Amino acid sequence: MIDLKGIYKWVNTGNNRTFLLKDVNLHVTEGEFISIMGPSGSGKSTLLNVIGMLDEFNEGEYNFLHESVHKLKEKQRTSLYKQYIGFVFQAYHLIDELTVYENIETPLIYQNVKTSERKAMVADILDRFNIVGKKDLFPTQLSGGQQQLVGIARALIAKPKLLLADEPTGNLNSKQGEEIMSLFKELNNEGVAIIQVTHSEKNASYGSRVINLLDGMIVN
Amino acid sequence: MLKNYFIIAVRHLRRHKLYAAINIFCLAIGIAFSMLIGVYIIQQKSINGTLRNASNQYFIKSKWKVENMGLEITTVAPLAKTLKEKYPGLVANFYRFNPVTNVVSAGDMHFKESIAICDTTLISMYGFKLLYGDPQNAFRNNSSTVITEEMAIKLFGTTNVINKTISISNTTSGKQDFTVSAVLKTMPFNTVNNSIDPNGYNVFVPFEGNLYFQGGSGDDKWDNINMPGLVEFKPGISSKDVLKATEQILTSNLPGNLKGLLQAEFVPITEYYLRDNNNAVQKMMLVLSIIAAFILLMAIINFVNINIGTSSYRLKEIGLRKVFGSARKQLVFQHLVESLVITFLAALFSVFLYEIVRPQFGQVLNTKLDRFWDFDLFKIGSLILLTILISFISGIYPAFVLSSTTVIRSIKGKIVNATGGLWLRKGLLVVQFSLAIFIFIAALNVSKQVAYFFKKDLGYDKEQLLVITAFPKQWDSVGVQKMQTIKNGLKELAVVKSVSLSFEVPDRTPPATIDLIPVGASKQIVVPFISVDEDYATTFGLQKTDGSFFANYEGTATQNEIVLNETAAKNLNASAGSTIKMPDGFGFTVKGIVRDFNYSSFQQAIGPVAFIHVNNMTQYRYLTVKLQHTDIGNAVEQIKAKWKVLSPSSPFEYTFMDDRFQALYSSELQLKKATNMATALNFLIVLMGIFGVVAFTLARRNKEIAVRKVLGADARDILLLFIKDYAWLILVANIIAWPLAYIVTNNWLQNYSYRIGQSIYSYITVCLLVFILAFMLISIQCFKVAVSNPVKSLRTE
Repeated sequence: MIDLKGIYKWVNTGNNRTFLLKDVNLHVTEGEFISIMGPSGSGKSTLLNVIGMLDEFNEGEYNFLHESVHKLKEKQRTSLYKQYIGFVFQAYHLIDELTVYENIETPLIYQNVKTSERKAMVADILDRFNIVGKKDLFPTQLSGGQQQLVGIARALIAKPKLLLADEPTGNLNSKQGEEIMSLFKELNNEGVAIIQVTHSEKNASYGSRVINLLDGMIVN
Repeated sequence: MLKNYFIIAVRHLRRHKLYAAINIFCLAIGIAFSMLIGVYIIQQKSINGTLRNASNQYFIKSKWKVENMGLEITTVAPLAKTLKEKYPGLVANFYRFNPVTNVVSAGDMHFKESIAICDTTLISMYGFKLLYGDPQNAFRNNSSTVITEEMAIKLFGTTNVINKTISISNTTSGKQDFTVSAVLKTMPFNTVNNSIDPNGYNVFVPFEGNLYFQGGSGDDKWDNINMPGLVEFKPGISSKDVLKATEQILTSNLPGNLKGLLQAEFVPITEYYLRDNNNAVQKMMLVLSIIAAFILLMAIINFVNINIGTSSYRLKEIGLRKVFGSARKQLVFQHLVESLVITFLAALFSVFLYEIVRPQFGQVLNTKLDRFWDFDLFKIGSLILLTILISFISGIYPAFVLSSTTVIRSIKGKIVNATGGLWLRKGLLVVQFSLAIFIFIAALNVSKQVAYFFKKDLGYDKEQLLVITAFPKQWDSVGVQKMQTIKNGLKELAVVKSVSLSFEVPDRTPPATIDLIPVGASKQIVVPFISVDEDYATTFGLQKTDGSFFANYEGTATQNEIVLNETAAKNLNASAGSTIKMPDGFGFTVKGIVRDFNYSSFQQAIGPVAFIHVNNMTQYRYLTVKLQHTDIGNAVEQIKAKWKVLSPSSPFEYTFMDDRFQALYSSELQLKKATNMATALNFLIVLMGIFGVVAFTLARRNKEIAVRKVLGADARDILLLFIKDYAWLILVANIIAWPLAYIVTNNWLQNYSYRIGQSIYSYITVCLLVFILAFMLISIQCFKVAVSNPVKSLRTE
């Protein structure tokens, strides 16, 4: 479903060009569970953002479900990732002014899902994640693990084909981390492709493939 | 989705109460002020709107070729009537009136009243509402009168007074009785009844058969140039057509001395009020609108500044919304909804503010502003429209800036175009400061000019002058003799220093003029004159520079004597003892010369004025009493008691000269109050804006301040850090505002022949005050952060 060919991304600082991504080639098929690993500053998050179409690249080709992403306009890109990709962040990034329920509902609003349908979908996922009792609380009233659960629920509400997670367990203790990872495994078994950035070998072991990055290049 | 936007808007407000409060309060001030001005303008514009066929009603104004020849608001007496009679195809109707003031009595009740001797078309032409009487035939005959309901209640204690009799004192020695044939419902302020005397007339009597003046009403004399004239055009007729007809009438009818010197002008009655007095009302409306726009602009700038400044905590949310698929359009819309919520709350609050300041503000503007609850649909609609407009203007820029940040950066909470936004914010602050400084300087200069009115040496002494206005006006030598007796009676009182009988007091340019030929010249000049008695100079404290101010004649007629002011003496090339002639050969002996004095407002330069003794020109309106000492209350009581003995049939009504003087400058006093108020509001808004901006800058630079302190900065350095930022903004604002203020103030001062010079001190004062105020505010806010332990703020990071 994802095909990256010779992706380069750089920033110019004065006369120097610093490469964030260098000749990255990657093929992801549907239903894969990939872990991206590497030291700080090796370009893990950048790669994830490029895949998620949140960030642009300078050179190369990117095909997503047979669409040439590098040729799309912002609007078309938005509608593409809106439909197929869910995001999970290390720092949860819930909207502080919205309740758990409203946070989860937000993506559906932007996809113009009808109110009644939205209600049903949010209720389902609350139920599945066992957080029905928390639906009227605000993010600041939850623990880190609970917040990340809400974050994942929000990422999954629109039934994406691909879940992108940037160190999803980075701010959690080991027990909470394990719970999240087994949840990912479960989702993967249901057919959702997952790409996660992680520092932990243990987390990486949940996936089917590991990609190592160093100074913006894939080293295997 | 809309509901979602509203919810999040309200939650944001609750979380950031300080900023929300500043925004709402500032916008509310702006909206409330706009409402006050808006209601005022709507009211002013609707004056005369209730008159029947208002769009076809015209006021005839005069343009004179020679200065001082006649008044602008009057025309030749028979003109309006002749137009209707000779050109019935152009003119549908006409109305003229001669305003007089005299005593109106019913039984034992005597009141001094403003009376209009007028054409009987008053009711049928303008459609004024009657409580009683026949609207088609309000004046039943020549001895009928129409009075207002106020007058009816004053005289008879009831409104239904049809067929009751009132009598009016006249200038020919007696009284004339009239039968009430109609009672007018209280009239709204309008140009027909309030154009000359803003208080209007309460008694209307017909020209025909009127005995007020000796020799008739003068409404048919082509040399009577002192009659206001109004006409109603036939539908579809333009003033151009009527002007042509008017020119023909004037050419064939004007007497020789007026021929070719008078040009008529037809002013639509709907515009008359706004354009009257050299566009006074229109100018005031313009000034107030500008002030309201300034205040609104400042509130909007605050809103924009605070919103962009505090945007960092919004960016994460915006970024996330983008990640979840929000289009930019949706984000912009969301922010507009938010700004609409805030503006709407501000509008609600402004209604409250409006109701609080409405009475005072109405007083300043000399009107009664509508209560909010009495607003009609148009006003409510305008208010809603204004609210939406303000919310759009103040919301659109932040909406676009915030929604334009790229996703990655916004999630990290960074604004991309940080420097761009910063420049814009600083620019907006400069605009705010400039406006505040500009208004402040202007207000200061207006106040100084107004103070100058009351400080300047007028050439006469306006203090302790009691002006009595109500007494029988019998304009002949017998009448003058009667007044002399009253005068002598008043003089017996110890509290009275002197008393003078005159046709004018120094509150306008005398409309009566006389043609005089300068000594040694052949062409005459027009000189306004006042009929006075010999005590006028003493009573008003005029200074003689040559000769004497008439002699004491004790009632015997003088021999053709005249007194001139310095300017008149110069223009006529005369000195005490010289003889000056009128074009018809009649000669005056110049008895004396007095120093120039301000007989009119400071807008006009002092021109020539002549004095003719009341024995020669037997017309008088005022009896002015100079009081001996300052215990005014006691003095007035004594004079009142004496008055009842001397003139039992006239009420004791009086004004003080200094009040009349103040009334001359009512529009300037209004302007002074309005600019002062604007200055206060502007500063309130600017300071609140600074407060908000500093508050969030402090919050954002918390860590920076802590680091600086760890590196050795003391509290003073930290304060300077912030003050420095503002110091140059205020400096730039001064550089922009000073020249603007100078030009505008100078322009305004040009209206006055007697005016202050602008001094640099007012500019420096304003500049310093702004600096001090801003710095004090910043210091107070920064102080807490500057002295707190830096470790604390570093730890929270």
